[in-house]
Amino acid sequence: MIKLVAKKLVRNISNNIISKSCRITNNTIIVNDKLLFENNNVPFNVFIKNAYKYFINNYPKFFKMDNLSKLGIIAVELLSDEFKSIDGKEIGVVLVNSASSLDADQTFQKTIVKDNYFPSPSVFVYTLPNIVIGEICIKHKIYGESSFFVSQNFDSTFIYNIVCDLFSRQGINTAIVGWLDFIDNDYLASLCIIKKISQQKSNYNEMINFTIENFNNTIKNDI
Amino acid sequence: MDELINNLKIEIIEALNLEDVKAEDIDTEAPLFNEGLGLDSIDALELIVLIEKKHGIKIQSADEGKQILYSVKTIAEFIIKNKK
Repeated sequence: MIKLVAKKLVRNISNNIISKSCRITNNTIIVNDKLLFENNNVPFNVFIKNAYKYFINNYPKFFKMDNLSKLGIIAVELLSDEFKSIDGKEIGVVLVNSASSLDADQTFQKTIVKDNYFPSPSVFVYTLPNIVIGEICIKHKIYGESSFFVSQNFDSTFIYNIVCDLFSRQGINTAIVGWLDFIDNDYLASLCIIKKISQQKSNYNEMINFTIENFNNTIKNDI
Repeated sequence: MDELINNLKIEIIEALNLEDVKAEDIDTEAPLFNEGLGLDSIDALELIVLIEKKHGIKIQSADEGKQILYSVKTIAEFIIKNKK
């Protein structure tokens, strides 16, 4: 009996948590279920530029990025207060989408048509989906493990296990995780911060436990 | 030359997505890389494409490119010298 109680205590204090979430879709930005920014009746490029001006406004490299990276940069910016005091080597990134880098691929394809063949180097560099992770890591000085998965749907159980593995084997204690997709001006960023909590930290009572069910509810709504 | 320089500045702003930079903000003789506009290696490649696409002139070697892309003025001089 004593053994069981002890085990339960240890389990409770070592639970991982979802500490913050951000959702960007349909010209709205929602953080922890609260509407933070809205810009109706404008195309994505205007919406995301206005969001940049409102939330960042000191990172000109933003304007050189592809749409997927712009989306990721804004979403992660709004989660960044959750990891800015953490060593970059202890932060991991795990992202998933279904369209890969198809938006940038299509933009690049327009620069290599038969009678107007001028391949654009600055578009070409974004023709891989994991480039957005690079942009996020450069901006926030993140050096931990990262992965980008391309899958038709968000498999919460699979990503849950990836995050648990990061926490248990890769020296990571904070992870930026979620769905980040952009295709044909249809977009969804649904990201969250997962934290490995320790005995020293006890102010997480109001946070959401990182369970597959909670993770699924946090990320999956519109996918 | 002045017209070419002004057009080049506009083309560079557009090709490199230099948000909030106007033609008059670009110093014609200032270095484009590291200082000045702070361009990077991908921007250099994009400028090479721009010169070929808009002005029909190919930069043949990397060494040559370094000198040509030094400033807006050196690019303009290269274009004038090689215009067919």
